[in-house]
Amino acid sequence: MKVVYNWLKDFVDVTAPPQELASRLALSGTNIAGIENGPHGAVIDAEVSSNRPDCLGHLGIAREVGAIYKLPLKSPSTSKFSRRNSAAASPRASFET
Amino acid sequence: MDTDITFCDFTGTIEYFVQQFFGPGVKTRFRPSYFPFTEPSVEFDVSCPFCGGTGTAAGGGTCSKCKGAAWIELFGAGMVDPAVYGFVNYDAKKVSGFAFGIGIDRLAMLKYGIDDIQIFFQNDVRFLRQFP
Repeated sequence: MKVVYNWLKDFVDVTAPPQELASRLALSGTNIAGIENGPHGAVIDAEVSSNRPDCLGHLGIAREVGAIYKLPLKSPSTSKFSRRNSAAASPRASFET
Repeated sequence: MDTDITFCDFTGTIEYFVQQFFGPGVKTRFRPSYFPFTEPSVEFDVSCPFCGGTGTAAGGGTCSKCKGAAWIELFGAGMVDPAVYGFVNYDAKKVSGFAFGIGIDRLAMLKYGIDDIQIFFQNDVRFLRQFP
């Protein structure tokens, strides 16, 4: 799981630099294969074990980070998918017999 | 495994072994991990015996053995998952135990500074006779 450090900040207000964050993650159960530099900043390569499929996403890793640093999780905005809009946009199907 | 075996028995046993094997200066750490037949599971690291856990080689630069990480992974391990005991007709309410997967060749590589694991299996007696 490639974790874009700056993307994590959408979900948790982490202030620790990528190196320190990677070290803390590694000692709390999310093994870290390495840190790379990508077009959007540091990319942490997290080795997600098969019992933790919830960590196969930035929100899941952010939950781990929040637990480590005792920070609240910021939920992503779902306003685009409000019930009213989704009803109008949902596909309609009809069946003829 | 036995009755009343706890995680503390596991960490104590492993740390005693590693101190005896690598010497009292070695540092150890357990990292949480996952394996299918142990719960909880850990991976076990020792401070790099080549660079003294600094990550820096003697002549400067990055230690080639631990690649600058200062730690070397020795093995994966854990407490036997109680579900496993059912397959061998042990009562998981009465017994518990720990499991660890460690290669003696890997230990020998670290202790004697051997770079290539294949050398052990090439049966060159000049090499093998060095080990009493």
